[in-house]
Amino acid sequence: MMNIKKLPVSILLDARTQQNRKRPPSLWHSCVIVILIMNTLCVTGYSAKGNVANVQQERIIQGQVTDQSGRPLSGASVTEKGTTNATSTAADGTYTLEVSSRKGILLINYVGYASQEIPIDGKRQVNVTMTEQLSDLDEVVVVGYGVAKKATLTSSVSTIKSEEIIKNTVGDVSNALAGKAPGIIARNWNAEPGADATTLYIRGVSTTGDNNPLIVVDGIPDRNMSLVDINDIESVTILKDASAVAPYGSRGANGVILITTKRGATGKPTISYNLYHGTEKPTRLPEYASSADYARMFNEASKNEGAPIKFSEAEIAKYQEAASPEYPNTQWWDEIIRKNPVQASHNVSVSGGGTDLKYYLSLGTFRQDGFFNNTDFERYNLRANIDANITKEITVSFDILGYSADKNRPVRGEEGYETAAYLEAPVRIPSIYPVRNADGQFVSSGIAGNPVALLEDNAGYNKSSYRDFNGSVTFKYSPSYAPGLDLKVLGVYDYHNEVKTKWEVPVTLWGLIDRENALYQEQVPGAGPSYYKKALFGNNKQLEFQANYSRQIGDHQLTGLFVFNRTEWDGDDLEGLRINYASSIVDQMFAGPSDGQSTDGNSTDGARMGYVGRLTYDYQQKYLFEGNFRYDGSMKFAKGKRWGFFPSFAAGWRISEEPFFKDNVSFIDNLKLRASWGQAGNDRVGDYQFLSTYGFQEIPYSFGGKYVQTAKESRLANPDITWETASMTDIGIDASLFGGLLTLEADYFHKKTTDILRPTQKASSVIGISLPDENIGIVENKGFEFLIGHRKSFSDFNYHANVTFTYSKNKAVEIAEAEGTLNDPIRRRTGRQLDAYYGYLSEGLFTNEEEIENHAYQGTGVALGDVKYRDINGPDGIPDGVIDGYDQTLIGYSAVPGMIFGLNLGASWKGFDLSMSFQGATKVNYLFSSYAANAFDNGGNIQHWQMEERWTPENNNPNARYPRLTTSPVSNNTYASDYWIRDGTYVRLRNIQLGYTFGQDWLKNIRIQNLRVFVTGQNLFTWVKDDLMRFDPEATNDRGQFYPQTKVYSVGLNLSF
Amino acid sequence: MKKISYIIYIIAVSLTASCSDDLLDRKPLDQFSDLDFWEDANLAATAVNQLYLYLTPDDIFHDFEALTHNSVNGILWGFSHARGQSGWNATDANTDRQWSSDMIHGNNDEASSSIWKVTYREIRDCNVAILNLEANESKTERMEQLIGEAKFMRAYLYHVLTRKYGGVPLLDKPLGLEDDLNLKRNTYKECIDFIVEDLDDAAAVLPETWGAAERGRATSGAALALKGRVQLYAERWEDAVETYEKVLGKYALFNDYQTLFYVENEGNQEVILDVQFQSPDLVFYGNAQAVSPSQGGWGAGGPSQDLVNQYELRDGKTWNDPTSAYYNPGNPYENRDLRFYGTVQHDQGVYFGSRLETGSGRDGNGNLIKGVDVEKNNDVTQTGYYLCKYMDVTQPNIDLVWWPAETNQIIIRYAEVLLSYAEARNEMLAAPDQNVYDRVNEVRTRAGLPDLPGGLTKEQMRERIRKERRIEFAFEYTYYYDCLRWKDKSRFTTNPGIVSIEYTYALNANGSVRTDETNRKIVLSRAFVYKNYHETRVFNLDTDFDWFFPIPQEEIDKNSSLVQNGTFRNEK
Repeated sequence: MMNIKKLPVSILLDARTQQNRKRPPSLWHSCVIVILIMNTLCVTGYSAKGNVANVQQERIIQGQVTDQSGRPLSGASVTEKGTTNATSTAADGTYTLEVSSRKGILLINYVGYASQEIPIDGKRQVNVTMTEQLSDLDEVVVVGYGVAKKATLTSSVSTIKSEEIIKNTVGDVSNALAGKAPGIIARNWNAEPGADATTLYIRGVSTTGDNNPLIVVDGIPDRNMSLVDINDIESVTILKDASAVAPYGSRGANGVILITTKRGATGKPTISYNLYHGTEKPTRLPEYASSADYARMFNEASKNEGAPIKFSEAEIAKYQEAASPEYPNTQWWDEIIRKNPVQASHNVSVSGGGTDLKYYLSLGTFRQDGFFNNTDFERYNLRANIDANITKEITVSFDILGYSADKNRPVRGEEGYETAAYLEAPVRIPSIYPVRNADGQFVSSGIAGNPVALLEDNAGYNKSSYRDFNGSVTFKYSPSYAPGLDLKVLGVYDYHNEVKTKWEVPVTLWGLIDRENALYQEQVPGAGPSYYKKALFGNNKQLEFQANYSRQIGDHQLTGLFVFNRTEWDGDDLEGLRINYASSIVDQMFAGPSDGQSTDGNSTDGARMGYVGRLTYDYQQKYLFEGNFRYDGSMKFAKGKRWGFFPSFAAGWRISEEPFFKDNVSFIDNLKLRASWGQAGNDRVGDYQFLSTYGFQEIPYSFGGKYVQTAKESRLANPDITWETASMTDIGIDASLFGGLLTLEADYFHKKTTDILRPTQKASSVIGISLPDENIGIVENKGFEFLIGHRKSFSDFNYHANVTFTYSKNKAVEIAEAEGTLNDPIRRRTGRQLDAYYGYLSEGLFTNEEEIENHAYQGTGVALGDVKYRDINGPDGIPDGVIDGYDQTLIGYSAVPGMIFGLNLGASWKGFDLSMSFQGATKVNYLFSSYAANAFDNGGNIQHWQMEERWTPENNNPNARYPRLTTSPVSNNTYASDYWIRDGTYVRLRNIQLGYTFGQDWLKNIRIQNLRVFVTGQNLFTWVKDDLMRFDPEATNDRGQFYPQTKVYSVGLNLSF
Repeated sequence: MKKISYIIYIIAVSLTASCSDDLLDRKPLDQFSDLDFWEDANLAATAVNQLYLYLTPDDIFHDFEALTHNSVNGILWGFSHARGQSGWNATDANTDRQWSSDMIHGNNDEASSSIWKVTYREIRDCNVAILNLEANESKTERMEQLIGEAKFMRAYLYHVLTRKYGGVPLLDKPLGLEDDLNLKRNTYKECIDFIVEDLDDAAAVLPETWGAAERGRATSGAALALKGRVQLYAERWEDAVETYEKVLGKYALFNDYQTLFYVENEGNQEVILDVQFQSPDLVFYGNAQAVSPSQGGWGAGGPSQDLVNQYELRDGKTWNDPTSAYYNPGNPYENRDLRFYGTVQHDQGVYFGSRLETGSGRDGNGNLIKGVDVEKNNDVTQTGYYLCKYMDVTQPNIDLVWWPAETNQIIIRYAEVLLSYAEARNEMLAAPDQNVYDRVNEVRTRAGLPDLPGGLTKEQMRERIRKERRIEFAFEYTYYYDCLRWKDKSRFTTNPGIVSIEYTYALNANGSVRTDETNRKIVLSRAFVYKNYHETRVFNLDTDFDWFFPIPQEEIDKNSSLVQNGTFRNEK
């Protein structure tokens, strides 16, 4: 065992970095690691137990806290009433508490459960069964720089607990949040393993700039949420209104997401092991026409154009038969989608502690294979959260995170899902092109190569590796002479390293030059393999001082907070490329010719500093007040423009505490009204916009046959650039009815973002340079959100349900629009939704020549079956008989949903538990273009629905949902118009889980404390309102080119001992 | 208590550190700041080097040439509307090719809008260099030259703008946010005066030639030749003649028209200014569009039959004149003006080691068997011809897919000086004098043609000069602008003309086509079918034809003091 302890973890991690491996998912591997780590941690655990044993046996109380179904509750607080003796339960629900006397009373609190007071009565073992209660007024929630009692909170905050998150079989935390809390608008644009983080918009879109919320992990801002293992999360808190985000006010304009990870509690060590193993399928894929149908449709298209037919009946018959490689029926998705790729997660943790030392240690691994060969993601997480009491007054916390991840993508996939060649190919190449010829050689489609060849192992690879270290040390000093005062000094060091490697080996394809005689010509690539490597290094350092004060004087409760923070970061980027390798045997930089090699690199650095202050006051816990400020300096702005001050105020009134209410309204247990107003900032714009700079250009020039360097002005400076400011108002209500049966949280919000940094559109291009951002934009965003919860128990049957709902609507009040459109009520964008779709209004299809003749002029070559546009405008503001740019207007919502809702259901009976989470969105549109909209686009394919829905001369239907077929899309039919607007409304069963927890008695015999097995389905079912939306409703599918969203079926277990 | 003191100490330090925001004063690590840049002549020179990149033709796909009777272009990327035509459709049963291009809103044309924006960006870079260099109190000779080079480029860019748009806003310094950006258009005359002044300044400080290491920089000759061109475009005949006389005799024609455009002859005695291309970072992709598919290209920019017809037989007679000793209807591609072979790839000609096949024939069973260059894929010729100017067959290892050519693209050469001088002098005089004849004949002699017949009237001479320009500068990015300045609608024809070639193949006993040892089908004889109708180009030829581009609507939307050109004002 000692040998194992000495084995550095890095060796274990390195064992898996063998390149180009083709092995089953690393189950055995994970098991080895799990066993090693468990053994290692046991040693730590037992030594901690030793500590406990030293405490006087007499005054030690032990026990276990469980819920009604016998499941242990971890993190419940156990206090000896009237003293400061307190602890919280370990992962297995057990606790050990040193009390002053065994005649006292134990007070047990747990979020979501009714608190209990239990007399000790001289016992040594006190087990407690907690009863669930949704609205516990003593519930404590995490807020900026501290915790607050939910009952007296005046700001808008939502919390998502560990068990809600952990059910999701997803790789990234962000994918588990949609529909779980009011106020989150979410869209998962891309499902590629390792790059599938959901974009979260707190209360929607409210600036033309960066809309991302600030992420704070364990109190430290600007950390990457994707680095956190789902299993390590204790809770996720969403800070929404001005008062809640105020402590992060300088960058809280888009809301804040606080992630709190688990910590140890006093008690004997608990080892938990959570795993699942699953298999994936795409949620939805579009269908394409068979090759015979393709040929028929292409002939029809040719006929529609009065052109000769390309495919003879004999050829079509051959395609129908699909018996030879020259006349195939290739369904490209089927050819390239991997069958049943695997997703697996393992996490083992140990937590516990004595009175002086508490620890939470965990090691996790996650692996996801993509739908395509050479597409996968594998991640290792290591976390240690340690709290040590150095003296009675001083506590030191030491948190570290180690993260290692590797992502593989196919070669020519680097640019991402939108342009990746292997994702373009299946939506573009017609089914009449074979994968291979009779000799097994890859055949070129002549349109987009051959995606199967591109995904072959010998075509090269595209890898990214990520190595992160996050570390922080906190000294907390609670002087005994000043009760209620805590002083903290916090030091943070985060390191990030990212290495991208791209090895591109040109593949020889064969071009079909004579279909009938099956003649192929070799297409020899012009250049040899190339090797590219890019390394990024980043450091982030923070030093923070915090003072917290809390004091109760009679009916008056007062708290205060002061924070000073300074942050510095720097980054380095180094890259190199060698091309035209003589051989593809050695994929390393040194093995390539120096002729044609290139290097590049640069550095960045930056800093920020700021002060935070907060005062809260309440009287009898009935009248609540809060004031906050944040004062921040950012290096993004010039001296004099650099400091921003962001205040906020909030007030609350607990009506239910008033005697007149208590006496008259019995069915309402709790009713609180709250309101807040405040400002928050945003400095996420490019660096040094206040300076004029010159940069060497990538393209040199040449004199006398020798390259010379070139340089030019990089930008125009704007020395006046400063903070973007959001002013937010929130009015909310919290209520609990019928003894906790029903709970309600509802908020109305209004946010006006001013001084948005954007370039003016008004300036004419003669200035000759991109205009710098100026503080000119104004966007208004308002809406409402609510959560309704219900929970009930009947002896051993419990169930709960909650509904979350968010609606937000924004308006571009001032976006510095060009005069020409600003002054045209039809074309103007000011005063309308940001990023909404613009285009023509369609009026169905032309069905007779007269109609074309009499209709407004749409250009030449308009034929029957073409889209007819409405003439709504002209240069003089009235319809002018011509369809042109003047007739473009608002045609739909944007691609970010305006309304999103969630329904979360759960029930348990005896050992069984079942949960379901539905999530949906509406007020969202897609504007089909390119391959999504048009058949035969770019020499491309035809989708099945385009064939089914098309207009034909025989079926001269003005309402056909696809216009006349043409051999390449005619521009008249491809304009952005409401003809191609699709409704993106959907409802999705995000997660369903059925679990069984084994009886405790039986497990005790095999020294297991808890064992639960479960089956889970992620994204099992998706209902889409618009039947022509054949893609996943969350995919980036305007072009029809996307990485398929993932459906996961898995089985797993939770084990602790 | 020691530990406590320690913590208090840390707190004190962190608070002290907070008192100053020096932490936030930073300098970019990936850029030069304004202050450093212009003090160093070597750094400043890099900003002038950058300007030369702006010489690259803006029409690398020969889109503009395809709007004239010289060419039919399969790839009209964005320029289809440049001339106010409202769209076109074309179908050719012979090649199974159909393509269409239609834009609703001419003045919303993206390409035109981008030319406007890009050119003003480039002019800004010139102005930034001129302003900062001139501000320098102790200018070295090199700095004076750098100013001259920047002025030359500014003049060139205004020439590019004025030949498209007419009068445009003139800027002689970089503007800032605080300046009035809603500038009015200057008149065409003001623009020409401005350009001429810049070129005079440039000619005064630039050397006649540069050392070998600086080859490619603008010379005083280049400034004068460009000045002559600008004056010719503005129809200032006497001025143009006077300017060109300073250049005559300073350069000479290169002896061979075809290899004039090859890498090995870059910078020969005829070249006055050329864009320096140098593989791998500076390459010209335009050729890829034009090369035949069997050579890896995209087959765009096909020369028209109408252009081919312009190339005289060696005796100066027209190609279809039966009285000529060289007349041969069975092979019309022999014994033509030498410039034909340096411009056009024709059927059965050998290029890059393979024989071009643009015809079709039938096998013994009556099946249509197409030649590889009309059948290979969609990228085939529309006219029966491919382009060969600038295609340097001597370059080794050329990438057949992209054809990144490192051949310098010539901006001004001496043949232009000769023909422009002749044109201006002919316009200036009542009837052409011998000087006019001599200049034109100099160009014809190099093409292997006899001298012009004597006794031409001014009008006849004008037509002869225009024909020479059309042939001499075909596909060199200038002919389109000649057509505009001559205000000759007939040159924007709807009938550019194509040829369809019918093969009689040699057949095997079983009726299949016989092939030679290189697997090429053997052609016994050819029949040429000339088609004078090929496509419908809908120009506004009849009434309000504009000789300038529309100002991009986007620009007028931003700056209402810009007045739109001609009929684009009420765009139909």
